[in-house]
Amino acid sequence: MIRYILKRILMMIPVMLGVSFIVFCMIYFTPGDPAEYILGVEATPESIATLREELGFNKGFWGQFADYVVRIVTKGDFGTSYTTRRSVTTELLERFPHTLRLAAMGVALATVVGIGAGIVAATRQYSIFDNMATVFALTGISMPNFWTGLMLIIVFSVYLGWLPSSGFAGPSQWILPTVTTGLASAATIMRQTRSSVLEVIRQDYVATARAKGQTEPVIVFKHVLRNALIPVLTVIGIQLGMLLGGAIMVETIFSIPGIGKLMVDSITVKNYPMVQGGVLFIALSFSLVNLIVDILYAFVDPRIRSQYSRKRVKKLKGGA
Amino acid sequence: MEQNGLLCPDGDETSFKKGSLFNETLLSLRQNRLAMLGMVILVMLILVAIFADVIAPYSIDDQQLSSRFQQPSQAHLFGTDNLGRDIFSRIVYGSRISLAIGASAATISALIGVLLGSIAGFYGGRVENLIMRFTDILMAIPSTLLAISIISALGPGLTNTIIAVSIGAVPGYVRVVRASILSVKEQEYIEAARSIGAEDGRIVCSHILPNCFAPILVQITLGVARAIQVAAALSFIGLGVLPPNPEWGSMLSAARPYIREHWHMVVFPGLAIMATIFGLNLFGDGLRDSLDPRLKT
Repeated sequence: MIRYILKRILMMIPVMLGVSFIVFCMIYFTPGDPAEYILGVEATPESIATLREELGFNKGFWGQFADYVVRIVTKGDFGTSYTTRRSVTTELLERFPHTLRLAAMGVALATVVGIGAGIVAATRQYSIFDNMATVFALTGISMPNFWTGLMLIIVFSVYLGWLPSSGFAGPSQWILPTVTTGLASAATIMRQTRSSVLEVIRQDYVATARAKGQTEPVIVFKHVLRNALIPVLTVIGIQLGMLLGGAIMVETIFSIPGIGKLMVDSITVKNYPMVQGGVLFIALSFSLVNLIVDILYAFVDPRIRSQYSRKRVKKLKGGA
Repeated sequence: MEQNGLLCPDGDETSFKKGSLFNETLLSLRQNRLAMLGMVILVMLILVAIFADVIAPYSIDDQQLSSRFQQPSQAHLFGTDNLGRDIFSRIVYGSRISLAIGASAATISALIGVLLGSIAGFYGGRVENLIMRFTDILMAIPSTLLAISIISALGPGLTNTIIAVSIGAVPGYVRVVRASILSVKEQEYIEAARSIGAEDGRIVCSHILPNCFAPILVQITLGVARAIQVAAALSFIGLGVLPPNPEWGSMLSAARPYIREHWHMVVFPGLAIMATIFGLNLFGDGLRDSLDPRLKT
């Protein structure tokens, strides 16, 4: 198991190197001189030349890329923000808790609603509940999250006046962004739960449980769900990762000071180190979440777990 | 037909088999009410885009400053915006932009994806490794974020939006095509084609790809929906299609400052996006179910 985890972590290294290369290329080949952006219109050619030298812009493509990667790996240094002159890493870490909280609350809500609705839809297939859940899921997947957010603001902030339309400081400010973030994920999780419960519920061992007179709740929760939820777990993990990246829109609408809003603001003022750092940071968290889900998957699914223990048994036998 | 004749000398049997797959798909699509609903929405949308000049009562930049912010009425079905432009007309014309983005982005990413996926699946080895690691890298960045970072480097505009949206969708096609190719590559009829001296390109194009058609078609349908959604998001944050073009996302972006007083500016462009994605998703799901029941999710 540890070998598997180590292997997966090692596999992340070339992927992250690739991501940083792509991000670096995009910014490198963008027209315009960063030194001029930093110093503004009143800069003299001499001061621009000095700054270019200082920031290592005269080193050529590969030299600059190597510098960039080495600084990230050795010092965790993603560069300096052009606008605030502060470290990109510091700013990202300051903003990250907001983005993480938004994504986590969104996924938590989506999990509860999605699994609940999915179970109801599957155990009462073709009933009115099933049809309602299906319509909800299809609508939820089709609504772009920035529009969902705006509609929620119109209803709950403007007309009903119940909830604030921006900010992220207190529980009342969390509700609308969390619902906006979680809605599409709830729909995806619901669809996955429904189809995987439907698959399991037709298995012979469920018929056996029913035949021996087991009550319906025990059948659903003990026999069906344990097996049906394994693929759902993967979907939840993917959704968490997606929401970390997709929080951009929600953060923009609700003025939440997270990484997404920071990046959109940075793009408008061409603050490239911030954009680079943001993309890399989110890609890294995305990959880490996927890794954790894969490991959890192996823990939860006895079939996968047994593969590892069987290997160990074989090895032990071979050693003896 | 010619190449199939090669494998199945009996011409009648070939046409029967082809017809039956098509008919079967059509029949099962017809029985699927949701898929039919999706198709109706889609056809309507295409008709609206084609006949926009006839349907729209006003032009996209017909400003009537005396009638700004008007609520929906008979004269202005969806009301007017902050510059006194008719929202209904702008949404009708906007369907052209969204469909153009969706169709061209899906075509571009499908072409690149099918090419890379075929090479990876057919040749295997080091080339496959290289292509698959490349897709891993692209997939490590969430698709909306990838599109945003690409367009931040390229700058806003319609063409750049299409490019940014297409690149993010390529890995999906590569994986689907590679997986399908791997599943048919070892079949006997491929060996037969090779034994009579068919070249690689011919084997892939005439014998392998037609057998991978179903998953690719489903991917394209859902890809159009995805492209429209991401493009609208880009325009919403001011990085995609720029105003005064009536792209639905950029209309929403323009409506945002007036959300407190003028709800109609926000509701209708969003409904247009939703209906389009809804239709495409329904049709794509239905297509998946009828083309390949094993792919059902």
